[in-house]
Amino acid sequence: MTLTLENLGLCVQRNWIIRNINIEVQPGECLALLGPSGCGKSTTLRLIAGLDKPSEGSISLFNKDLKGISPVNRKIGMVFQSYALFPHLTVVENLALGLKVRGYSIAEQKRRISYVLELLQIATLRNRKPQEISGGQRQRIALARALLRDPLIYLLDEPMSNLDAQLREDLRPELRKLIISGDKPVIYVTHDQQEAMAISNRIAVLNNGNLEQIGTPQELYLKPQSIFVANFIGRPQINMFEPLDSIRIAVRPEDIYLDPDGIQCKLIYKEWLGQNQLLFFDTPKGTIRMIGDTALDIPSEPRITWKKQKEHHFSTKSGKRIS
Amino acid sequence: MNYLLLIPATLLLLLVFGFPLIRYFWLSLHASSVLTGLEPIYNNGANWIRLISDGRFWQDLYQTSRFAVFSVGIEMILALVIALLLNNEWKSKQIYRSITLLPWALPTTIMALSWRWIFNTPYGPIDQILNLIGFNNLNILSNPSLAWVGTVIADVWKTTPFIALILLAGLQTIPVDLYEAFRLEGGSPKQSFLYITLPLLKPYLLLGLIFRLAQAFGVFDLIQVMTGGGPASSTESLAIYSYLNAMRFLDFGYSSTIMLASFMILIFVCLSAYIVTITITNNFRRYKL
Amino acid sequence: MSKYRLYLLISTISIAIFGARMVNGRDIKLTTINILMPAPFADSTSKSIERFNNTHKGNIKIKVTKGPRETESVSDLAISNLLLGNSTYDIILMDVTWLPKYASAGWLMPLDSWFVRKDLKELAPGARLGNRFKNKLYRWPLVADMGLLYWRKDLMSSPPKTPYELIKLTEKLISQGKVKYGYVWQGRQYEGLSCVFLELIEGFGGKWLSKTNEVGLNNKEAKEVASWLRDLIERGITPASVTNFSEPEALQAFKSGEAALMRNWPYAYAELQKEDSNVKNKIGITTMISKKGGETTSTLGSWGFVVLKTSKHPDKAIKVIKFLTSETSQRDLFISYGYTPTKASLYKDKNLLETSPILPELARALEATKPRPETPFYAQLSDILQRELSSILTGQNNVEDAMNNAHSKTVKILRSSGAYR
Repeated sequence: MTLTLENLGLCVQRNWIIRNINIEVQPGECLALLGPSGCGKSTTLRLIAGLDKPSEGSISLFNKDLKGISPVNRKIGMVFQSYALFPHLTVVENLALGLKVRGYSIAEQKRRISYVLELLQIATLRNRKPQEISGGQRQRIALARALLRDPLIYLLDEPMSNLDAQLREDLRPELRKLIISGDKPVIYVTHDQQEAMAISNRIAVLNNGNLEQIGTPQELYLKPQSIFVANFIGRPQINMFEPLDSIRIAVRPEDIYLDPDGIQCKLIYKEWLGQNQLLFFDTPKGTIRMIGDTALDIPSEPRITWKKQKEHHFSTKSGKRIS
Repeated sequence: MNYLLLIPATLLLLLVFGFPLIRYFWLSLHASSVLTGLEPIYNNGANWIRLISDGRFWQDLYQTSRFAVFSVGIEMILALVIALLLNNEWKSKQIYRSITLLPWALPTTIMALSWRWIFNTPYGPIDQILNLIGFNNLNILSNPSLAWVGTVIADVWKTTPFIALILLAGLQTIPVDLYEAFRLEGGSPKQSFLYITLPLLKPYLLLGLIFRLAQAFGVFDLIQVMTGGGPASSTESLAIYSYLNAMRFLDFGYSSTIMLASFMILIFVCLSAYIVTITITNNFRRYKL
Repeated sequence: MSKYRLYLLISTISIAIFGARMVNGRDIKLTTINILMPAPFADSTSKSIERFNNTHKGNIKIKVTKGPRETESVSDLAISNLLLGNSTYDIILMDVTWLPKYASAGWLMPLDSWFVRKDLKELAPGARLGNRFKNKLYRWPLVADMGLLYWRKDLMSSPPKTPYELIKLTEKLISQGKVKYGYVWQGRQYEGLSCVFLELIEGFGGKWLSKTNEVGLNNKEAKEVASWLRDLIERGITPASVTNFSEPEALQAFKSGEAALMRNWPYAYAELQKEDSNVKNKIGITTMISKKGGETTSTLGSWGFVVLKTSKHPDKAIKVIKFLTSETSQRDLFISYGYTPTKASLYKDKNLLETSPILPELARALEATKPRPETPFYAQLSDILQRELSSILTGQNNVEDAMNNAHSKTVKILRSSGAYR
């Protein structure tokens, strides 16, 4: 196993920021840490990097306990959300500083830096300062710096969150090509479920410092283990019905279809999504979202239904999946 | 067209800075004292010739520079240490910050008077402490070779907080991320100080340095109260000498000459300090590739 | 009814306007006399001034500007004000040493036409000094001030009279362990050091500056004074830290009971008689030691009023001065604040003699007062002397060279001022 988090927890001033985190990262795997802000995903990353010390539990990398090992000796390539580029140094100097303090010769520094600059196609930026280049370019410099680290594992802390939507989509394949598809494991922190599903092999969903579920994007989507995961994963959001006999039923919008024997309802709103449309129906069970074909003709008194086997059942009490 | 917007500020600067300077310069070319009935009489640069051969001016210049260099030097280093300490996350750090600023909030004359009593021999606490550890009769403020040290200590005590405040403000503009990123790259605390903190703090260091040099170079009230320039004129500053000439001797021509000369020297000193600091901090980026 | 109201309104308004005019008219007749005084004097004269303002309502009003506490700072304030041309003050309460400088700068109004021979005769002899410059009267004294030698009645039966006696007596007291220091005085490089020197050089039979502008600083007597002061420090009679002692430091040493003798001004007496003093009721005052050929001398302090040339109401200003320096006002100041009177009659006043045991000594000291050199360049002369004396006292320079330096620099200043023309 490359990275193992066992029973990891961090307590600050009697508040547990995260607790009981158990994750195993496979070789070459990209694991996304997904959750809303404040769920503890960045904290988990910082514990792995060694920037904070865990209050309980252990972290081991390639079967070696990281306890007491300094951040630099953990050999971690980290990309910060802010990129953490040194504003007073040029691009080259930014990349060189780490090599310099780790004792590489000038020649070696030059060789390595030239290599990553070529690889990331940013050689023309060599002598610019961070504030003189674009956000996307800054992100590449940050990636380049992580690459230069020659790390055992990559930790990416919301590397896309400072970029606009277009740039994010453009950079995703590149990120995949450069880092994620390599043989090094990657831990990718994000609050964007789509990004997590697009980029990672497995996703660990965190909520309030607890690990809700860990699995492949498909598993999370098809078999969410809790109300939280069901709600968090998948857009448009899952239909979550009012609880009945301590059971909450949820159905994904794409599993709803028009049926003359279905529940009677009223179309209140629709969003055109291109190849299909998102329909909002007012029903006795509350508002129901449905994804339908754009060509679909909605009758004046529509009736909708779904297949029983597409239902997700959760216990109201624990919020956990029942069947 | 855009320069039109600068006109009010420029006029104000000219009024506040330019006018007195021109007035000083004009006066420095005239004799204006009790002898002339305070009327300014053009005297062919006699004031400047007198200044050049005035041993007391050069002695005071040396003493003023000594005071400025030592007090500002020590203040910068101490202030940096204090700012670094205060920048840490501490419990109730606000209280520490306020306490640190207290000396600066005191009026100079009051604190100078307190220091005079603190250094007093034999009734001041410093003397009693020095006696305990075996230094008898140092008589700091009464001793021509030590009195200036006393004034430096008082100045450091009073003004360090001010620089510390400037530097603290500078430190708080540096994101924590930078330090963490550097730590992951293998930077030691010493290296992150040298490669991150110092260069990013440069503008604030310069601000504090220039500001304080200018202030220290014009030191007056602190020394006037603590030693009156004595003993044996060993702490007399240019400002005190200029003041004596103007207010006590009513020799405004010569007083203006001293003032203007020290102003020009100050400009020179500040420029040098600026260049030296820039050069030193730039040396941290020698590894151009 | 409404018409009636209108009339009422109009008449009210006109009365208001007319009335205001009347008050304004009275305002124009009221003369305000502005006085600049050091803070302690502003406080101590406030009662007299209130009395004056009450009895002259609508005619003269005294407005006091409370200056700084420190003597020279008051001068700085006054000079800054005078340099601007039209001074806001009519009267300034002035230290004795400023007068020649202010007078030759042309800032002062001669007072000879207001104060006649009779007025002058009423002054105590010492108080007559330091009010004139170039044969014109410029200043009228309010408070006499003179250097005094304070001595400990519990340690000696009588104070030392000569330099030799002083050394012998204090060394004995120190060796007996009765005191830590023999004699404390003002050795800081400031005006007080010049005052100390003046008393001694006169007492040793020398002269700082003679009436004919002869400088005596390289004479045997001047050098003897400097050597004697240095000797006091070397013998441990005076602490070496005296080179940063002004009045408060000397007072502190004497008040704590650690010194046998002190040179200070009359104000110190009240301080030494306070409850927190270790020498309460153990002190006597006298005048400075002297040698054969010299005479015991007190440096003349003294504060007095001057009228500025720019004053628009000199007659009324004189009226104010005469009131504030009257016997009644001075009696008040002496009883409440210990300010030494300038009127001769007060020294024989039975009431005052009863309340103050030191009045006869003060009278005697006042007779021994001498002013510091009366030249517009006094500040320069004093500055030169302070520098050189300070270098002697701190061992930076030897007596011979330092006093010769002081002498030649003093001569140079006086020569360039045209004193010998």
